[in-house]
Amino acid sequence: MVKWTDLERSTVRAVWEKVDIDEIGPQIWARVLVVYPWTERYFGSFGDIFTTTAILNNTKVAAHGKVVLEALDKAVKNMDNMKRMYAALSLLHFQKLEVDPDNFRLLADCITIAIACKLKSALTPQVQATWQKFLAAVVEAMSSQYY
Amino acid sequence: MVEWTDAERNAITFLWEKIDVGEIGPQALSRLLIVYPWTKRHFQAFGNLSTSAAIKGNPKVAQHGKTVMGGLENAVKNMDNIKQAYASLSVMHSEKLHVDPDNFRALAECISLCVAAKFGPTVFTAEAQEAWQKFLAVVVSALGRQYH
Repeated sequence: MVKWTDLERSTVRAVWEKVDIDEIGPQIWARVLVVYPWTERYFGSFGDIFTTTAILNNTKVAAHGKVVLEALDKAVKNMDNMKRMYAALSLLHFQKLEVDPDNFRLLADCITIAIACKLKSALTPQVQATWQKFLAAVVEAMSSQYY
Repeated sequence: MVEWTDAERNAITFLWEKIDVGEIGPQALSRLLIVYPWTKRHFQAFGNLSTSAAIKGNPKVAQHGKTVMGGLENAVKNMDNIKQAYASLSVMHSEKLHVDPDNFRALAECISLCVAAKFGPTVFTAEAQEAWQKFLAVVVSALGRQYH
């Protein structure tokens, strides 16, 4: 089980408090789809996602960004129990959605970049280290039901 | 050979013109040493790296950060031939410095984060991020190329 110091817990919460899901949510998927275009294959039902303009204006992309961040909110509130909490979601991504778990790491990178754009120098190296540890734990929990 | 669209070339040169290597370089190297602490082993000669404050205040870290970031200039000016431009640097990192090439990727990540934090979402857009990270991925690949 991942160990968290008190400082790490408060750091993750402090970062999360600054994240406006309505603002950051749409950005993260736009970044994933533009920077890693093969991820488009998972979103066939989203309509036109084949140009940058289409991606940035696609309401389903924006809505899905919020869905993901709402799920991340649960991890912030359950840092000691992520694996159990994400078990069903992990199974869904494995069996039904057939998502390569490598893509979780790419999404985590885009979340960090979007937060860096927002927080700027408030994302100090120490805060970055803690935030990336948190996302690594989330990625691991999301990969846990794959075999 | 890597293909660059005009949009990607423009995005990369646009960002590069705005980047102050003396500012971003030290920040990126400090982040590397703090976020991935095992990288400190390559910088024993730099003196005190024992705390985040020591790292951030260390003038050798700052100077080296500037040097490394400045090294990207070579890639910006030789975008169609980065592999050749970095061949001798790659040999040096492999044979003399014994740096695990995975660390190049970690440093690239830190550089991208510094650039994102500096410029915010209206400049470091999704397209800018795509071009910039592709550019750094090519640099990372070129630096790992001469390892065997």
